[in-house]
Amino acid sequence: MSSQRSEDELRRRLLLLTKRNYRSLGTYIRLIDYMVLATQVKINQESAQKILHEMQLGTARKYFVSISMLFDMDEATTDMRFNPQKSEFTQFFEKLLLDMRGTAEEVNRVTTQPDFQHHIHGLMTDTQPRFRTIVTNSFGYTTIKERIQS
Amino acid sequence: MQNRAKKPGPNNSNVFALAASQTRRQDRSYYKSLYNFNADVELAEYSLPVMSSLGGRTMAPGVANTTKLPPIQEGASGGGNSRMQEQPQYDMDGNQVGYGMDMEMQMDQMDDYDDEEPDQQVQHGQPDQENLKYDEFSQLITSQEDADNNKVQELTKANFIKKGTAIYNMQTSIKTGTHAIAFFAKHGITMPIKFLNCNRRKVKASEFRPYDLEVIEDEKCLNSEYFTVSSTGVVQICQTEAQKKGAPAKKPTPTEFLSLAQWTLQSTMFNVLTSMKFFKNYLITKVFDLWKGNVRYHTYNKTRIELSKNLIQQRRDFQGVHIEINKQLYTMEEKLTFLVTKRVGTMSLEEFKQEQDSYRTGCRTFYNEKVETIVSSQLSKLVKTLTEDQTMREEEDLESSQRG
Repeated sequence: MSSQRSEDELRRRLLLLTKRNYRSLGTYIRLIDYMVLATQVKINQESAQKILHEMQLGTARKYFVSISMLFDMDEATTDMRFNPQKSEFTQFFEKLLLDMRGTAEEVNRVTTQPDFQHHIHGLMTDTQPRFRTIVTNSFGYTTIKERIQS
Repeated sequence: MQNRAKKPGPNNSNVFALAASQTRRQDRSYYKSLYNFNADVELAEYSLPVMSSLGGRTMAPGVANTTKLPPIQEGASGGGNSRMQEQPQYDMDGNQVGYGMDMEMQMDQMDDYDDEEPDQQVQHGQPDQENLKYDEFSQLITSQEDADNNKVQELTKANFIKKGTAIYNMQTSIKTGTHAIAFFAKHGITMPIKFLNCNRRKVKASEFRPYDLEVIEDEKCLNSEYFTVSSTGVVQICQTEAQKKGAPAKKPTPTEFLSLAQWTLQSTMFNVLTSMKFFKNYLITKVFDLWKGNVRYHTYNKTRIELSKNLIQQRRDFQGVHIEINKQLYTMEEKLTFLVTKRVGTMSLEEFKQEQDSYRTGCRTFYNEKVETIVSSQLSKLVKTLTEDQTMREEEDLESSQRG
């Protein structure tokens, strides 16, 4: 009788635990989604810093884009031009920064999986900040962009 | 002297009594002005007759008038000095035993005497002094001193201390360490009392008073750490409980000796320092900080335990999955979206652009693969397991309830 009672108690507790775990599934999926998002943001930040680091290497750099210098030897003026020009470089690196953000942004979200919709239904809202907003508003991204433009 | 002699007082009697009679008519500020020491006025009493030719000179305004001391009777050695010499005799008279052992009390009384008004001084002393002349007054003091000295002389002749005797009363009247030090500082080894044992005074836990001692007559009441005060100094003795009961010492008993002067100096320095706010509140602040730190640590531990119980990833069903997901994310982080080419040399901007584009395409595929791994092999599996588990438990529960 006593063992029966303890068995019932154990079963009841197991059922409670299982229900609790099942109810937590939606929250856990959301947590994993945030973790993936955080990893993407981190990847983006580190990549942008890597560009800056490479640009600041100076003479220690053993490779990079070749630049040709053109001299106009007119009688009136002696002019010197670079090819590609500075504006082209700036535009290219700005685009590179945007493409990097796009690459990280295009990674599939965990919450978009159809199997999980049942669990996270009602938990996700559109008011939460998106990846692009998080990255664009970050201090590191803004600083690096300003450095490239300067 | 001559200036003063030309202004006789009311009765030409005792200086204290005269001063007291005058003070009744004047306010407190008058007595404060007495302390304005003027060398010319004071030295005038000792001036030679030749100097009297200068009698016509004008004194500094306010000096002669403010003092307004009566002429000193013959035999007086000086108004100011006599005041200073005679003053302590009032205090000494108040002492029951007559040896004036309480230095602190004497000092306090001296301070009080300086502050209080002269009419009160007369009340403390002998009110009928107005009728005493200087010689009589001097004789009275001398006789009092002699009586005290005689008492002390008698006490020194005692060979032992017996209950009920004066020397016993003297010993019992010494209550604190300060009294004991004052006693030995005054009498040295002349008295039959050669040493006194003291314990530390019991104080509140929040206080630290290492120099406060209380005299213990019974040796059995001494603590394991006690002090012996003698005419040479203070010995601090720390013995174990076994040693206290008479057992032979296995290790040497730690002791420390301080002379009376050193002890008094250190005690005074300690009192001065502990009167400062920082040192005064140091113990309380330290204990409070300790308590605060402990409470914070306790709260932190409580929160940590609470979190470990309730966090989803800490539950047994989620632990393995969570570790695997973390591993996949860490692998994702290793691949950045910007390629640092390994080749040496230069390339055109177009080449560089193409290289970065192709690398990013690879990155995109890599990231998606990792997320897919997280979703399909970890999360989906977890969802499936938990759903099945819940269904199974519910069925079991249903069966059990049907069985009754």
